Amino acid sequence: MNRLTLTALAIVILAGIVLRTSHIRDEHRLTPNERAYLYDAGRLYDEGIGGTQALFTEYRHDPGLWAVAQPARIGYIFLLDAAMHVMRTKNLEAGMALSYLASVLTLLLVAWLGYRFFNAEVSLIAAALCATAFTEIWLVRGTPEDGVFGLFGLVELWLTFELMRTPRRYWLYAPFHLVGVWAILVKQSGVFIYGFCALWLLGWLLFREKSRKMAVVLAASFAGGLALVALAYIVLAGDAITAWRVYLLSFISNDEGWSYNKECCFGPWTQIPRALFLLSPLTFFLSIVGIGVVSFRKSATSLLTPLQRSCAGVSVLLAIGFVSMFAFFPGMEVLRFITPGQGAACLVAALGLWMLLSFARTRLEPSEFAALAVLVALGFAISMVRDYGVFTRIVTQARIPELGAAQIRMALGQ
Amino acid sequence: MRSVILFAAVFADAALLLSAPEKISLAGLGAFLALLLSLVILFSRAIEWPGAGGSPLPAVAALALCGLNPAAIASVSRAVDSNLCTALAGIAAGIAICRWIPSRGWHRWAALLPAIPCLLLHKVGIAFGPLAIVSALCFDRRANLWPTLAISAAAGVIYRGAAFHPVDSIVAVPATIASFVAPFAPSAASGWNVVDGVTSTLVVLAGAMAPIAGFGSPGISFGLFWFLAMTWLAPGEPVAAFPGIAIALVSAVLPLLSALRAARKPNLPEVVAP
Repeated sequence: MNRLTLTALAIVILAGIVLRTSHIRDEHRLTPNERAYLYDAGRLYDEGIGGTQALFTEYRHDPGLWAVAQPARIGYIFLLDAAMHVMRTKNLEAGMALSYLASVLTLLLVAWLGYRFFNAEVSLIAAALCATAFTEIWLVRGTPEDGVFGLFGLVELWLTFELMRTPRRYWLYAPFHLVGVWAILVKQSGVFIYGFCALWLLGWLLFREKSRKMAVVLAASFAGGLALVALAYIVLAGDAITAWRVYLLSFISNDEGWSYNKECCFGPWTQIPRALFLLSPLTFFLSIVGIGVVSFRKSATSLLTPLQRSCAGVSVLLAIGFVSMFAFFPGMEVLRFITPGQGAACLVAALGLWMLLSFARTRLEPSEFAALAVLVALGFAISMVRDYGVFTRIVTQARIPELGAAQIRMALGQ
Repeated sequence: MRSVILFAAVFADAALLLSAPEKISLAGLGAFLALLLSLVILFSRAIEWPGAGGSPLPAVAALALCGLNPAAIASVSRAVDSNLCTALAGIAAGIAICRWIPSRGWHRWAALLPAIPCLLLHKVGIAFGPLAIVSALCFDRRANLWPTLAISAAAGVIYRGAAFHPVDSIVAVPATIASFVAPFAPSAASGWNVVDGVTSTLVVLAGAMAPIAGFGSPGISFGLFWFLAMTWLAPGEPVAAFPGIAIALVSAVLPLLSALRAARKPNLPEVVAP
């Protein structure tokens, strides 16, 4: 990495951290889920890990609690409990610290993945897109599980990349499965993070490495991972029936939960892409460009190695998977749900721009390419300022309590 | 292809600047982008960089200077006058056609095609004929552009009742220059008086006449006349005047860049065959 790129990367990361830091204490109305996380983690803080059985049993028998999804998200409650122990407090500060840490680590990890698996330019562009990403800054306020959940998605993506690079580093499969399992324990949709990554890796082992044996072992260990999730629920709930019942109930809303969803999270499927475009047109268009160029075999083969193409492919799968899943799911059109796809989308978008620049480099003279680089940097600066302006308009002026696509559109007068 | 890539980057930046969720009508956005598109052609024709082998960089720089200028963007997104933008696009396209192989006769008629409909939209259309003549004087004296003058005269008749305040126009000269140079300074466009206006108008006029006397490139002259004409006809509308300043500025800088380039070239000793 040359000195200029390194300096630019440092500035971008610093700007991202400053932005996150400056919004930790924004006024924020806690969602029903956040209040429940704090309550449950506080119980574990007082009673220790043995308190989980009481949480599961209470939840099972009290319909008033069914508006929220706990304790099916026990993985997040454990992390919040750990944060409370570290900070020696049971109040919101611990949750805010956890969300802040997750958001900063996501930014750093996006930059690292871009550098390790692609190149310094991709790293810089991806970090710049992630630094002002709306959801990443929004999630440092309060204690939503989605910041941590998004980080789990990105870590799983990282492990997938590493395993595709060196599939015979067998010890790496252990963290791959553990992170996948924990992602499910953090949020039910974690099964898609684990599933998408395992599925892609399976294809890589089968078709690229031509190792049927390793593929079979991976599939079996994936099934074992799901069994481990079930086992964890049973052990923590105390018995299988309570665990199963609580897990099913976590998908059912009571009247309170339903009215909350109706207020924030309904609308046509086009709302999600439209909201994403309104929040950051640059990231939106570059992601489309990235998906296009990665899918276009000729351009991708000439500029990317097979490993890089595969890394881009699994990123595309994760980004598109999460966006489309929640766009089409009624009552789930909330942008914080798609956080595991956020970092992946930044990488894909960065790859798209880098490939466009590589295309231009061969066609322009050095002075002209320098002018293009200045224009691109200017565009990024404009975009970052613009996106942050949109953030302050939505968060500090409209003060929407949830990241519902419909609420964002209304806040922006669209 | 080189030009397309670079101009596309400027357009993308302009679109990003205008994509803030303040209300901007689709008509206004379309008119502004059409204006930029016609300025691309005009700049490519009006700015020459001797010895650079047809490099698109000067035109790109001029387009970026006027199209991405925060003052221009602010005026477009504040009160989108799509009529003004469309009229300017027509004028720029008309003059660009005049500049395109000007020795052929049909151009003087073809130039009227984009210009006439646009002239009906805003009083800046009056400047079309004089500016076409100035472009001919600056770049190609053989061109015969009397029909453009007739069109301008017709536009003058149409807009004879339109409000015109000479004092406002005079004061707008330094204010527009200041908002071009210091677009982020909120006070740049205010606090000027008639004395400042007259002085700066005279300085600009002298700068515009200098190339005719043999100092500087003709682009400076054309750009400054454009600036003066538009500032007089549409004071307080940076979108109208900025293309002129951009052409003049880039044309003024290019000879210096050429000299720098020539000085940088290594002076290799002549190789003599044994």
